Amino acid sequence: MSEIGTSEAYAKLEPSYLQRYFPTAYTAAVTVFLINFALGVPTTALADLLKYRVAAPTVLLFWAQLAVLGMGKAVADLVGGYFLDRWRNGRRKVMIVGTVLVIIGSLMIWITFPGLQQTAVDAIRKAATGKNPAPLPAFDVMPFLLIMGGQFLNGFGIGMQNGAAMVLLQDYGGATKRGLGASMQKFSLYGGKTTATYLGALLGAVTGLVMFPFLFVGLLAVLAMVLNVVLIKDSREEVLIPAGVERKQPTLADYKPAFTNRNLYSVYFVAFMGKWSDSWFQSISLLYLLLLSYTKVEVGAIATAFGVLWSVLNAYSGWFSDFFGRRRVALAGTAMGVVTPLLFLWYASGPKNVTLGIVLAALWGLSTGAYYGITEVVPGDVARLASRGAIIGTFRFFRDTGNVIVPLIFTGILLLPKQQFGSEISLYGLTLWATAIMMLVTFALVWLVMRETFLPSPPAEEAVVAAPRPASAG
Amino acid sequence: MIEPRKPRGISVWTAVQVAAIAIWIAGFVVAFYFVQTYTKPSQKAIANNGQLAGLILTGLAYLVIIYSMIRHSPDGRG
Repeated sequence: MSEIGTSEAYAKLEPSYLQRYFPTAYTAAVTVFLINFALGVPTTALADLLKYRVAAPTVLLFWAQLAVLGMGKAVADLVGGYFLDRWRNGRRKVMIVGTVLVIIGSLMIWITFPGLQQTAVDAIRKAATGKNPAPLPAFDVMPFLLIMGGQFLNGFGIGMQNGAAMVLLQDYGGATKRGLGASMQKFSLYGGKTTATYLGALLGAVTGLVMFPFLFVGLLAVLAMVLNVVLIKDSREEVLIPAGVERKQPTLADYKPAFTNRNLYSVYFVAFMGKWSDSWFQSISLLYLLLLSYTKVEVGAIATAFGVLWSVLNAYSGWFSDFFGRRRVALAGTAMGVVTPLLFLWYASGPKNVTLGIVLAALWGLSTGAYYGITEVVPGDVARLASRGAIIGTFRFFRDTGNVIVPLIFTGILLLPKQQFGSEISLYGLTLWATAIMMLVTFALVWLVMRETFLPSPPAEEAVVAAPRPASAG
Repeated sequence: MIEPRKPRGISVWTAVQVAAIAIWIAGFVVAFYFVQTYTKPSQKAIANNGQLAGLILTGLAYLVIIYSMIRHSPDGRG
């Protein structure tokens, strides 16, 4: 039993349009790569600058670095999703608006300190953290507000660009290759982010200027915008409307499945756990392994193994789900996801072994990529073709709140009294137990609640196969 | 009428894609190797160039991977 979006697609659309609209499909993926690559570049420089040069209070630092970008992205998911369906040429327009916002956001941040040398920030940090710590300069409010505003616009822009590209690529995936379309977007997104971690350090080292990466981000965003303007053809106007799909503004009724469909509930949770694992490797693993006497380079290698395998799997799990079904892939991924944190805990409790750490982190990345890659295709299966933007946008909103909620959960666990659990290392171990338990709940949800949302072959063909054979003559 | 058999075996695009994924991962390894190996201030230029080479490898491999993903999947059924 498939969902309405799947059967409507089989009834109205061709199997796929990805090759026919090759320039558009390729450009959509490449601009996702460019924007996510661009915004992955300057993260470390910003943290240092806000803490020592702007001298922002700790609470505001948290909001500036995490919540503002994350909140901007989550809000953009909803707003972008609405306008994808509402505007004529909505897919194309939202992508272009997204890149324009990133240009404005990154330039707002760059103009705060365009000529500031890294050595100047290093000097303030050394003075403030030395044996006789000097007081930090007074809180510089105006640059702080510009950076906050810029980060919000960056988050908003990236949310619009990523969401619109996802819907566009699923549209061009037609009736049978939506998973492939989604995989192209996901691989571009995480591939761009992972690659950017190397470029950020490189740009800072070559120019010596703290804010130069933001100017670079602006230039990449201009390139993405030009590519979008020149090469993107709107998928709804090119494919859906000619196939007889209704053109309508989203109403509250269009959003109803987002709150009532059991399969969507399941994938909200599955996607949230993808964010959970990513967040664990981005923040907790670094501190945990440093406590266990691993060097920074070793810790970086272990965390990168997770990121690389995750992005590679994102290229395939959605695509494979076009052949095996979404639920089977999710079941396999979440089952592995229960085991991998416990394996990592066993590894962390044993003697130091970098190679084993890399292998287990890669295994964890593999399992996360397997289940995470299918999550955004399921809303495409569930939504009517006319309201695909609204439903996928709502899914993205719930998923992206994980960017804000998960770090808060980890902070809560690490604030528990150390004495009760033995030591600080035990508290980090507790985050792994929490991950495994949450993954077990997720696995149970996929097994017991989620139903298959996609049929690899059209319903008519299945009926032919299922029909009894005519009796042979004689 | 006997239907022609579907061709079996690894297609060109599958091979291209596997090679590109391998190069994509190799790019990270190259960048990581240079960061880890050339750590002295006098070796900064070597480390930067090595990182850049790794980055260019991953970037080019990415473009091939996406290209082959689309080319690998014909628009028709099957």
